[in-house]
Amino acid sequence: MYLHGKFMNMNLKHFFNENHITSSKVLSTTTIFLFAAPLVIFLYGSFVFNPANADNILLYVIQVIADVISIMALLGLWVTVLLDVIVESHHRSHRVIANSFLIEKQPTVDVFITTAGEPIDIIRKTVTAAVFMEYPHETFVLDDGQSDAVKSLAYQLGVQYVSRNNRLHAKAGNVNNGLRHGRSEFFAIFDADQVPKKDFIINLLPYMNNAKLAMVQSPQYFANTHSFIAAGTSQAQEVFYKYVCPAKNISNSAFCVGTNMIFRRSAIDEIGGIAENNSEDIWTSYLLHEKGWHTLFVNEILAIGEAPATIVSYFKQQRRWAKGGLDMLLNNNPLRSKKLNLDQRMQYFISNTYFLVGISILAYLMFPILYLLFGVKPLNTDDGWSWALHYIPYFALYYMLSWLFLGRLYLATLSTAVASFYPYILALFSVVFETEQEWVATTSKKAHEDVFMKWVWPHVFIIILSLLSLVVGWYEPKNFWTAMFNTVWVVLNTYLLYLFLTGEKRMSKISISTDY
Amino acid sequence: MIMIMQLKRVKRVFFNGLYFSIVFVVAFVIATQALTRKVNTYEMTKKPLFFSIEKERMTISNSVTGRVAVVAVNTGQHVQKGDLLVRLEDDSLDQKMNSLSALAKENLSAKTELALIQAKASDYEIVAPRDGVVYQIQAAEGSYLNMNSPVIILFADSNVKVSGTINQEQYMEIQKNKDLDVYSTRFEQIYKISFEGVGRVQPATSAEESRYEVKFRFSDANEGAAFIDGESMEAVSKNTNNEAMRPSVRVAKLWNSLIIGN
Repeated sequence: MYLHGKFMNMNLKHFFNENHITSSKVLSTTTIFLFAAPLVIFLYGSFVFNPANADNILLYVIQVIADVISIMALLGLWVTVLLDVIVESHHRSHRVIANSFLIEKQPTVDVFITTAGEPIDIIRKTVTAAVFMEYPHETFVLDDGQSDAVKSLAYQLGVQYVSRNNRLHAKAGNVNNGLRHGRSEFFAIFDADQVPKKDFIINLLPYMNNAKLAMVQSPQYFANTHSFIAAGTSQAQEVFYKYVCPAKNISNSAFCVGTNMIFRRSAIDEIGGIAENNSEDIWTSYLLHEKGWHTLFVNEILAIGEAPATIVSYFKQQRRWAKGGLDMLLNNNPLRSKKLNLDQRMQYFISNTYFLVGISILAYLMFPILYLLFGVKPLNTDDGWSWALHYIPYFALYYMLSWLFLGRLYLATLSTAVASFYPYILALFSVVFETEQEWVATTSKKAHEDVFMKWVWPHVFIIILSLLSLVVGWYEPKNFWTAMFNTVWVVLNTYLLYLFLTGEKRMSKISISTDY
Repeated sequence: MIMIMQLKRVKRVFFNGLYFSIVFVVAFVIATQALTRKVNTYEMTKKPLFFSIEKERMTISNSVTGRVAVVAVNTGQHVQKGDLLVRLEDDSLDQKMNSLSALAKENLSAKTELALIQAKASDYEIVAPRDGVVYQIQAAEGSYLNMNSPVIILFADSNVKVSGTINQEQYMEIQKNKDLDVYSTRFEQIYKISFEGVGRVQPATSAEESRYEVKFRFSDANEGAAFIDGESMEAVSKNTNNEAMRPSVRVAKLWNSLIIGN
């Protein structure tokens, strides 16, 4: 608390500099998306949902299911981005210059850093940065890894070390355990690999001046985009943080992403602590919203993280997120909630259903292979041009999403997106059949010890089958152009999957500037 | 310690290999099955498909009793509508006519009876009802015929059908495009026929696929006359270009072109 006096004398003005992820300007390509998406979806839907175009009836049913899911995801994104563009007020993330709040009220803050077996170097970086954040605060290392190295690190840096003798409820349990030791009005949470910037608290805490606000969330930003898989992941995240999260502010449904946020202690106490399950982030926000609390997303980079750089860690992370979303969707459908308002219900529903796209991706990967192998197809494509007219714009739109939103298109993004069907489907299975899984942190050592093929066998299988299907498909093709189209499709998908599987070793060509 | 590390590594390599082999074998089996299926279908569909000519058979019977006086045609002869085929005689009727004609000048009833018999006389001349070819003559000159016995069987020139048995896939194809080309080896010429209807459908069993009996007619109605009933015609595949070449033939052709340079 000795820092207080020092803080009082400081001129706070310079802390509130512009620090947005991107400018608040809307890209012209995004406007293209807003106009094109409904048109393209209508064009595609009018062809696919017309039963007269069905060919093989079983495949057609699967196609319709896959299309309903993918169209829902696209429409969800469309609505969200539309809100983003047409509602001006929120676009600058409700910037408040409420430093008087900090000076007059002098709220107290705890900082929790959750660790679970991550490499000590990473933890050291994070804890050091947390300690040196401006504004007085108390730092806690919540260690679930029971590591002596972390313990001695905590003593070195003079921060509190909290450990427990079980790993119940994973991160949520860990934080709740930490909450027993913390006494402050507010607390921030960082994953072990999220290095906060000096002005994290000073930038976020003033929003808490609004007494109804339970949480302020800042985005995750990934610096390790030199690796192929990390680059792909971080681009997908960028769309999420640039468009989706700010738009959720409009309907007060911004949700917690598990790290880089500040919670109001009293709000969390009211809902009985952080929600104790494997996807504590979305559930905690959900419970807060049900109690009528407000949440806010502030689009400023205030912590630098590390995106998963290996396939196994990427898949585990995706599976964890997907499981959270799907669990809520199937066991506690947000649409049926009586306590949320309609907007919030919609937003939760959109977020949760997104993870079903695993089914769509798998179906879209398998259809051309099935055609080349067995000559069966879901849609009657004999009238080649009419079909292409409806079909190509839709998939072009999907493949161009990152260009439309971020103004640049990288294979890494497509590649990781295509490959992520497997963790999503795994998550769906584990939710439907209620099987448990061990929670492993994104960068923890344990993640590397798994058998690689256990995670990528579907991809290897699809690649091998694709190559063989080319041989079978070009043995006396019945219809040259259909075979040709499916071949192009198969080759493209195979290439993307191949890039992904070999991605760990390849450096990405992306160099997102890191001048933060 | 190093031993354990190595053991772990060996274990990992082993499991990776195991997963890969299983995945590879499964993919390979699926692809092999698919290829086998495709080759078999190909061999089946590329078997020449024969249709046969079906001409309308006209059995001409006599409506009166009598002795065959004249058979005016030979088997295989082409006749036109109205041509005389067979003439019958009835001796008792002739006698009766003679006596009646003598009486007819005075007796009115005899005159009427004579007129009736003369009107019937045309029945004793059997003529061709339509153009056609004589297929069978079932009456010998001088033999005695009862009423309604078949005398001559003709194949009509008009209304010639082409019939055949096809599988479901071919049936679907024909449903989409009602026209088909058939090739006659006898005339060395391609004829156009168009789908008319389907007859018996034999549903698929475990051993055989379903069969459809289909009928076509000649697109140009006059073309059918030249054919013989039961003559076979080969269906000509729409894509008779390279694509329908047998794979083995194609490889051989490519090989030859490489060796011989042609």
